[in-house]
Amino acid sequence: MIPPSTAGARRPPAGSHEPAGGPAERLELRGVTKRFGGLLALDHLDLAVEPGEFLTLLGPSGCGKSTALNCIAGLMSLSDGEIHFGGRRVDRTPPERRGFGMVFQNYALFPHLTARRNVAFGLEVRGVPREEVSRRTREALAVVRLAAHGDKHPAQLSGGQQQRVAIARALVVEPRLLLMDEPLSNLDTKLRGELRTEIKRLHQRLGLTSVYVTHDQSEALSLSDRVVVLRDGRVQQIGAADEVYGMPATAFVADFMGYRNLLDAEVTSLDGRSAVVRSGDLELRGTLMGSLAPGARAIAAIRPHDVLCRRGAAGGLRGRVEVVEYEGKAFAADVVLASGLRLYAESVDPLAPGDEVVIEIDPRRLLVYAGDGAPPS
Amino acid sequence: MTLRRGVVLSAPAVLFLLVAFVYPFGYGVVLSLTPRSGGPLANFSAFLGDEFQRASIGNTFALAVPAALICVGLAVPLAYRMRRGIRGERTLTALLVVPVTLGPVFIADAMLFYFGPVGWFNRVLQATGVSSEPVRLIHTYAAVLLAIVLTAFPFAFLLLLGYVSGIDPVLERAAHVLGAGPWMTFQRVLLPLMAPGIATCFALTFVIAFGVFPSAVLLGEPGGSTRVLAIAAYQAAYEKFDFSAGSAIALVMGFLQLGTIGLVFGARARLYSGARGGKG
Repeated sequence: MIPPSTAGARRPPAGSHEPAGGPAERLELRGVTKRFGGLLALDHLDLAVEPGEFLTLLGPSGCGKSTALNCIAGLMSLSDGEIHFGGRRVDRTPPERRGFGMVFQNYALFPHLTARRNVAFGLEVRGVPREEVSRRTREALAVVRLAAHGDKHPAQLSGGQQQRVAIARALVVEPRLLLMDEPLSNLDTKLRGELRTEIKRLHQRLGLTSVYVTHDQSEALSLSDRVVVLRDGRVQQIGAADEVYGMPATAFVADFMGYRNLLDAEVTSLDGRSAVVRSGDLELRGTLMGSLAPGARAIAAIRPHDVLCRRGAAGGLRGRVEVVEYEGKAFAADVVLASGLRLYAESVDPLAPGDEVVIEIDPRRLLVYAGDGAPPS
Repeated sequence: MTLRRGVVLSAPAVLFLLVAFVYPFGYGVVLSLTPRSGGPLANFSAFLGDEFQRASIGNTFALAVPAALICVGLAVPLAYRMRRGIRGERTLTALLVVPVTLGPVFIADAMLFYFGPVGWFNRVLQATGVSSEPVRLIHTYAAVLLAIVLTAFPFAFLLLLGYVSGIDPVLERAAHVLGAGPWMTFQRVLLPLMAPGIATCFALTFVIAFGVFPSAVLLGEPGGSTRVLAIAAYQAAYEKFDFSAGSAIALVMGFLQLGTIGLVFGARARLYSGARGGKG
């Protein structure tokens, strides 16, 4: 069940896509398009997943990420394009002959079978000898730490246990590719965190090429080697987790990556990649993303985390706190500036609604995007 | 307080059961145990001791079991095919339900004309040279069986369709990705999950078929192969005017039905009987 050659840390460094040794089973999507009636769910998606890589498709609901995963699994036919795996075209191959593993959001365990029989299912339909089925099933249940629960039916297991059974069921067949469709979305916060670590651990240990779908950016960042941000069936950005987090390619990605402050602005001056923009009576300096000319409409994006505020009346940018939310490490404040502009900010010191504050924005953390594109939602 | 409310709330149902079921049933039991002559069980021993009478049991099973099997056998693949909806589903469903609304006498009458010696069916057979003489299709066992299937099939189909479409479609997808083709998925996932529905479906159509009366008289051989229990009971009660013997035969009928359903559900309980998947 666990190939010893791939045991141990075999996670490639983020951003590097060197093929792992052995047969290069690379997944490649070429111009994959899916239409539902008149609706374009996937628009010429080009994507390559390197052997051993953990790639996440990230986006809001309806962005096409699950459609893409279903196309890879073979559960949906393509309207156009090709899918290649390990050098062979597979998009006409029925799902049962692709040899992939898949984990579903609602676990999709067979309710009439015990946990053990669920895990054994894939081996049984492959005609694996009985003793081997029972040995590998036992090992797989041990890997997800459910060895003691093999005789229970899904209804007798908690959500987290059910999803671990589903993971064991996908892994036991030694899939050439592991697909996960929002596997943590049905779990409560605590379990989600635990199972996330579990998935990461399994990936480090088994080095399985994995494609993961989620709408949760923190899940995507913590698990993935690379993240693909999708919107309306099109790629917004492909990059290592830290790239997507630190340098979102578009205002949409920035919005998705926690840049809660997205200000309509106008470019006033440019100096290389440094730009000065004006939003209302506010003059801000930031980093230019893409190409913009002075006078162009722009969106200035910055995370609440990078808008620091402290109590006081002296300094450049002044505002009044409207709402304060305690977040453990810091206080999140909704601040209204004198000009009426609203900013989401953070403070390490306690704040109260009505406090007068001074705001500081780190220009290295303020990103300037073209404002003529589709505005962020 | 809660107890009183419980009594008040259940009163209409209890009253209805008492008036409409318990009393008539008890009356029938008492009636069957008080024969015209002989001991309390004389009716039963007379019925079971007479070869001609006893044959009605076999005749009834010979119609009811195949009818139920045919209905289930047709309903399972059709419901499976239609589980995700198909084009023209409403029209098809409406067509399937029509026989229910017509009633057995109407169907029997239509079949008498259609399959009769001068009916369309025989005329076509003769015109095309398939047969030189009218083929005897009515007043046969097969005609009764067909009539029962026509009447009972819609119930079987609708029941199973509801059941199958309640099975989470993601289970099928999971089975496919795990390497199971359509047939294996049906066999290993859908069929076991449908088992409780199939058992209920079998029981329902069996009961409908077991009580067959008008079709057996109008379309069958009421003196021979389709002399079912209901005919035997009717003849005892309304031709010989021996209500006591008629009640006894009706009771035999009831026990045989209960016994069969008990067997079916017993077998079903040994299979899987639980939730049908979905979120959880």
